[in-house]
Order: sequence, then structure tokens, then C-alpha cells
Amino acid sequence: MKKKPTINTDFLGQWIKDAGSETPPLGFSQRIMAQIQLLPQRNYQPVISPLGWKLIIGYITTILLTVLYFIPSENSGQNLWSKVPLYKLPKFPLDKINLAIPTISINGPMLIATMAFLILGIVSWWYTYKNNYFQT
Amino acid sequence: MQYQEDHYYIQQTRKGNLQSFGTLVEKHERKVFTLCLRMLKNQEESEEAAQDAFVKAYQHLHGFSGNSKFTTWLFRIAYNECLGRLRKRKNEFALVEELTEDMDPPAQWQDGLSELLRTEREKMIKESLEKLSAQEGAILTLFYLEEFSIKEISSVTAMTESNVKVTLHRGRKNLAILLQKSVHKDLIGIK
Repeated sequence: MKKKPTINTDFLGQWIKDAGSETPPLGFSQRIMAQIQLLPQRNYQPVISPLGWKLIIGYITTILLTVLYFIPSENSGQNLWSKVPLYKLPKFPLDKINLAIPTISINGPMLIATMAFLILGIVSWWYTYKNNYFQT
Repeated sequence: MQYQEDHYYIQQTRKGNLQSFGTLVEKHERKVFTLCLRMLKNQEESEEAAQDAFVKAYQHLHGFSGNSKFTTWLFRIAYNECLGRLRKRKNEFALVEELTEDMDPPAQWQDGLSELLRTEREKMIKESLEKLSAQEGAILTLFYLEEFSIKEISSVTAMTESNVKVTLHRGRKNLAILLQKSVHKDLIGIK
């Protein structure tokens, strides 16, 4: 039986490399860029903006510092939040109109948290509004 | 021209600098065009496919996570673009002629090919590469010209690594047979 000749392919890699790549026609990249320029331009924005990251970091830092500051001392064993004075909303002269409405009393931590959220919310809303307004 | 790393141009493009994408195109146009030509075997269609691949790459640049090389991602887009065009043509399998090793090769045909002038040999290799199937042409180009690993080729072509190895082996063998035939024709003067 006649033995099939074996084919040596070791040299092919080098020859393919030597043959090299093909050159695209003249003006190839210009045509691509012309096509791209016709597309509606996309403004790539990260999901969380740098300001967003700053706000998040600021908020976490504030909470951490507040928590550290108000950690109860070993001697008293009492939560230092309790030292924050309660804020009482002004009472309306309800007795005059004979109406019984419960008084809202907000404790210190809740008030601070609400204020922090409000401030951060207003700042982030303002920046978003400013960016959108000036970009369009 | 001295180019910077791809991620620099990608970042600049994402910031809205269109010129950076232009540089990215210039940097990779030859590679993408070569891959398209190896697959489509047609100059005009390859040009169109490569252009479409770049435009798609631009449109989806925000989706490029950077987990793989930019060229791997770009080649995947170009490869899929060419596959789509081939499917439309529906003749991707008709491109390959039946290649057999039955003919008696002239002795030391590789030596004969080595002795050819470099330009003649390059022409012969390019012609033979064009006769391979789209997949074989693409895989040989990615493996030898772009020096992609089997894993990277697998990522570009969405084939399993073992399939890539098989196709690479078959492509090498078919290319050798085609070159052998060309040399044989040249030597006996029946081109």
C-alpha cells in the first residue's frame, strides 16, 4: 500500500506572517469617521457621577463621625444621643378651637438625619438640574 | 506613527473626543480589513464589512467593559459582521473546493516555495488563504498574524477551544495542500 505523503506545516506560520496584512483602500478611515459623524452623538456618562460619589462618601463619613462622636462612654453607659435636646414643634392654640391634634415630637437623631437628607437631596437635585439645563 | 494604548483612546472617545476614535480606527483598520478579506474574499464587501464593524464598535463602545483586549472585542464584532454577510450570501460552504492529498507532490515542494521570490511567495500564500473557508481563513489569520491565543480566538469566534484547535489544524493542512498544488502547477507550467 502506498503511504500518503505527510505534510509539514511548521513553516506556514512564518510565511503567513511574512505575507502580512492587507491594506484597506485609500480614505477608508475617513469614510468611517464620516459615517460616525452622521450618527447622533452619544455623551457617555457614568451611572454614578463624580458628584454622586462625593455625596455618598460625604454622607457615609458624616454618619461614621457622628456615630463615633456619640458612642456612649463606659462610665455612664448612657447613649449620648439622649443628650441632644428634643425639638418640640410650636403648639397651636388648639384649645381655643376645641380640636385635639397630637403634637409631633422629633428626637435629635431623626432631625439630624432628615436635615442631612434634605441638604444632600437639594444639592444633588441642583447639580443635576444645572447640568441638564446648561447642556441642552 | 506611534500609538498609545487602546484604553486611552477609548476613554477619550467616551468623553466625546471623536478624533480619538479616528486614531483607534487608523490603528486597527489593517487588521480588521484583513480579517474581513480572509472571510469574505471580496475587496468591496470586506471594505463595507470592516466599516460597519467600526461603526458598530463606536455605537457600542459604552458596553465594552475592558475585561478582554479591545482587539478581541473589535474582532468579534468584525467576525460576526462577516458571518452575517456570509449567511446572506449563503455560499460560505461553496467557497472551499474539495482538498485532497492524493496527488503526488513534487519532492521538497516546501523548499521550492522557500526559494521563490518573497513577493511571489506572499502572493501565492495570500491567494491560497483566500481559497480557504471563512472560518479557517479567520482562525489562521488570528492565530498567526495577530498572535491570538486559542482562548482569545474562541472568544472572538464563539467556538469551543477544541473546535478552534481542530479548525486551526484543518486550516493549516488545507493551506499546505493549496500551496503544494500552486507550487506543483508552477513547476510543471500548467497554470
